Amino acid sequence: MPEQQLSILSLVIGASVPVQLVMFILLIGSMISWLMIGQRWWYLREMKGGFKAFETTFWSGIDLNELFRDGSMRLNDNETVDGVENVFRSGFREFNRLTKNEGTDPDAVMEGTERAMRVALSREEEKLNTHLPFLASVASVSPYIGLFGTVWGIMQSFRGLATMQQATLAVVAPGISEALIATAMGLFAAIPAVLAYNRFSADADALYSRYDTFSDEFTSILHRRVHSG
Amino acid sequence: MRISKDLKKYGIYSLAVLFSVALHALVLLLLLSDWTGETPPHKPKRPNFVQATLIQIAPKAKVQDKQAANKKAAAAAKKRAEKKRQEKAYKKRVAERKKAERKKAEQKQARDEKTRRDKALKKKQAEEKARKAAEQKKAEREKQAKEAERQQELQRQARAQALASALSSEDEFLADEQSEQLAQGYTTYIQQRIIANWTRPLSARRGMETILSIQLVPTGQVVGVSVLKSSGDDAFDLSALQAVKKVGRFDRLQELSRESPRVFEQNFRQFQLVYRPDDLRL
Repeated sequence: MPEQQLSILSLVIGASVPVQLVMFILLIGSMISWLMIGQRWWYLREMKGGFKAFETTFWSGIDLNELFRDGSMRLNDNETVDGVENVFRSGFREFNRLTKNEGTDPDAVMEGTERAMRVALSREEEKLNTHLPFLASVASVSPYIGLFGTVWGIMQSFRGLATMQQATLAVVAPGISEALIATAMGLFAAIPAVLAYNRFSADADALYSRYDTFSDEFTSILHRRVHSG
Repeated sequence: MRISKDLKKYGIYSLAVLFSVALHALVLLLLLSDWTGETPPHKPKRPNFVQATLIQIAPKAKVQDKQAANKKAAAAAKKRAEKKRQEKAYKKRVAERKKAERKKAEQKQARDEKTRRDKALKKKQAEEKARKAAEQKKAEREKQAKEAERQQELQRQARAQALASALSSEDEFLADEQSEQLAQGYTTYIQQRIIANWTRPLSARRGMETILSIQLVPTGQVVGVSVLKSSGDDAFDLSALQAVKKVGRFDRLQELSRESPRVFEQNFRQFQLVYRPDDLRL
């Protein structure tokens, strides 16, 4: 490392306590937001794959009872049933329960089924959107935090400058350089968070609307069945 | 079932944690290894020194000219000599014929004359040579004299330079002294201004003095004042502090900082003032 250049590590260590605190907060924020990014990416990928797989089996002409039983078996085998299958299962369960009693009004059956599916849908939506608010907060707040650190650092360096006999650039330059690291860190935390938030919220929206479409289709199938039967 | 679900969830989370930590570690590593995408500053190339020697072009040109002229002259002389010789030969032949017809006794006389003429010519040539040698010697001597003169000139220049640098350092010294005097004047002015704005406390006694630390900006505005060494009497210290605050701005320092900012920076940016009003009667 050339000696005439200040190393970034020495700048960070030499920073004043508030600036260091700001840097620490930003580092933690960045780490957590990357954690969320990783988790979301993984989860949404799995959900997309699961939706595709479930839709193909659903439209392959399989018996709905069998599909339901299959899911129950998987649940018993300690496997997860996630996403759109939950919507299907809660709707189908409610439908079976309501049609078991003879003489129930078909409209009442449909209403109950739809309600059950709506509940499951909103639960799924919640799952899709977890952590996204955190990413949004990091994206919008961390530049401000970084800026605060920078302003504070520059304030300090100028205060030091006021008592100097001779004001040279060399006196303030390290302080300003050190302060600017905070802004850099803020941006470093914010930029991926913004990108990830936009990407993931768009993905979640798309997935949710597909779930919604599926539940409508499923409702129409059940509708046909209850009115024909 | 619950356990496995949680396990899977935790699996995803731990993967994400790993990913996040690894990413940050990588970034930190890159920063610490001073990866800033810039090439290390290359060392300045040492310039190739060339030993320069003074070449006098003018004399050479002259020499060339002379040589050319000499050559031309020589060529002309040769031509002339040739012509002469031809003429001579022709004449000789005629003369010979005549001479042969004439008495041979005259031949001896002619030969004598010829030898005499030859001798004279030889003498002349020797003289010419001597003259040339003398000339050369003279030129050499002149050259040497010139060289010596040049050396002397160089020495003189060096001496002049040394003298100039000495003078400039003396100037600096003088400037320092001058600026000190200037500062002294302004210090007196500051004292006067403070005394003019001073309200004498009842407890002020003769011989009291307090050392104030005053900070000014180039406009003469007081930005900070504090008691550096107390006089032992709080009321006196306070009155001095208040006097400085009351002055608020030393107007004349503005012109000082405009005219010679160096003096201002050295003496009045932050300075200590021994405040000792001399009209204390008690």
